[in-house]
Amino acid sequence: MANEIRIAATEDTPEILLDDKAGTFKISGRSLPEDAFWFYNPIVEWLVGYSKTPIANTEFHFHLEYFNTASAKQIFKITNILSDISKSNQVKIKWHYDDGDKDMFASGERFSKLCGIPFELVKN
Amino acid sequence: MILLNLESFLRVADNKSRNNFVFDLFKLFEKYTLTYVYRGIFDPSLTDKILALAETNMNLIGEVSKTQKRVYFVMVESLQNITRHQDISQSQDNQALFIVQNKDGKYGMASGNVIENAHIESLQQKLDKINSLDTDSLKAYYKDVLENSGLSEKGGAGLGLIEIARRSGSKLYYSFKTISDKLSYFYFKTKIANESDSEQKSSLNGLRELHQLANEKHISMVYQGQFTHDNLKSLLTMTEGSVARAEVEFRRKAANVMVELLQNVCNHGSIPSGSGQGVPGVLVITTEISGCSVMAGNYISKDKIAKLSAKIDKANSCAFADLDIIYQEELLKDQEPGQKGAGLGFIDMRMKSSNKIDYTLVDFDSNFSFLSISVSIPF
Repeated sequence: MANEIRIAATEDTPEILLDDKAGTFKISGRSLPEDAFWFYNPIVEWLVGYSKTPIANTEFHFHLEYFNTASAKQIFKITNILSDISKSNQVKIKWHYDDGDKDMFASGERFSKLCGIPFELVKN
Repeated sequence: MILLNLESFLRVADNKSRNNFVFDLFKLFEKYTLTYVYRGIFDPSLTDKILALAETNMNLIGEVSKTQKRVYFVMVESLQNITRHQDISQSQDNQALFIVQNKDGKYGMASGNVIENAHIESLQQKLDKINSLDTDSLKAYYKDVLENSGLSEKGGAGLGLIEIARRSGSKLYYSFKTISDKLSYFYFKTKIANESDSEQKSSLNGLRELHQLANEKHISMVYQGQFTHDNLKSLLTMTEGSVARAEVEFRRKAANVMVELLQNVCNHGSIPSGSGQGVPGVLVITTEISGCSVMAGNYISKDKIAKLSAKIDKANSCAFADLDIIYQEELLKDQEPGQKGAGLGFIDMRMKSSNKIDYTLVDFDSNFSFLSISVSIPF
């Protein structure tokens, strides 16, 4: 397993930063790829690998401007893996939303409920 | 761009639902080979986006680079003419209009904007002078203006129109329409093509009518052409500029709805004839006091209709408070192999719009129908 994934943001995909050595886990920007499965699959696979030997405290940041419904399904997969990790280790999910963006706030609540871990909803 | 039947079109459009209006616009644009119409307040960031979209689209159809450069140049100058001279105190009804036409690689650019009557005479003299000159005299005139005049009060060097005439190799067609004792519309058209003089003149009349239609229907933007995942990004940035609202929530809702609608067009739209680099369709954005409507139209294979209608009807029949539940149900489902979307699009659009999704199917031929979907987003 590679130690880290770094993907720069594009017009339609978010920046990805997954580094277990540095303890940084972050998805930020816009996510509207036409083929969300293709984009997120390496990330999902990395996280599945990571979930076998996670660090003591995983703090995962979602800081999305907006995402399409195809991405929603993949984000849900990611929160589920994090939920699995939380059964044996500390996991904190910080879901950032911009001030006034009620939809992003509601999405955070929804994902939190579905994966069964409380998110920290952070207003920016 | 000869819109002679526009009056009857308007009458027809009034009697039908909003979505037949989308199909009618699609046909109208197809007939007159219009690529897009933009109506609103023009500023430099918006013009950058319009230019970016034109560039993406010309690359998409593999336009030769010499034509690309000329089109680009004439667009830049035409748009700068609007941004410099538009009356920004204009009311909703007097907003400027910009049109791009592409007929088999022959491009036309047209604009309509409000100017002060006091400026008409000098503008008209200048246009007539440019039109009276041949290629060599234009070059000399350009040099003369360059050397002898400073910047005008609006910031132009007075060279824009001369440059448009030189680069396009076309006469400059124009007309004025009086609005009041202070203001008039200034219509302007040029082309990079070999349209005859009479075609050019009648298309100016079409331009006036189209402006009226855009005003009456509160159209902010129409794009007719190919839809691909690539130009979707340019369309999105361009439309973001056209959403005249600063609130982050509204802007994101509008962007979200556009993405879902246009990705649907790309994923499920059909190409009934010939082959294209993308899916043919139309995107219309209207802005009214109460909110914006995003409308998309495309051909769809008849065997897909039942499934599609079921999806929209399900989202529409669900009480607003229960949308979250069906959203979650869909989210929990595994994606079928080969499934392009997540099955969540219409539910998401309905949540974002807080209105029902309006859709219409118009029979096209034995295999295809034309699907129009309209989503309104309240301010």
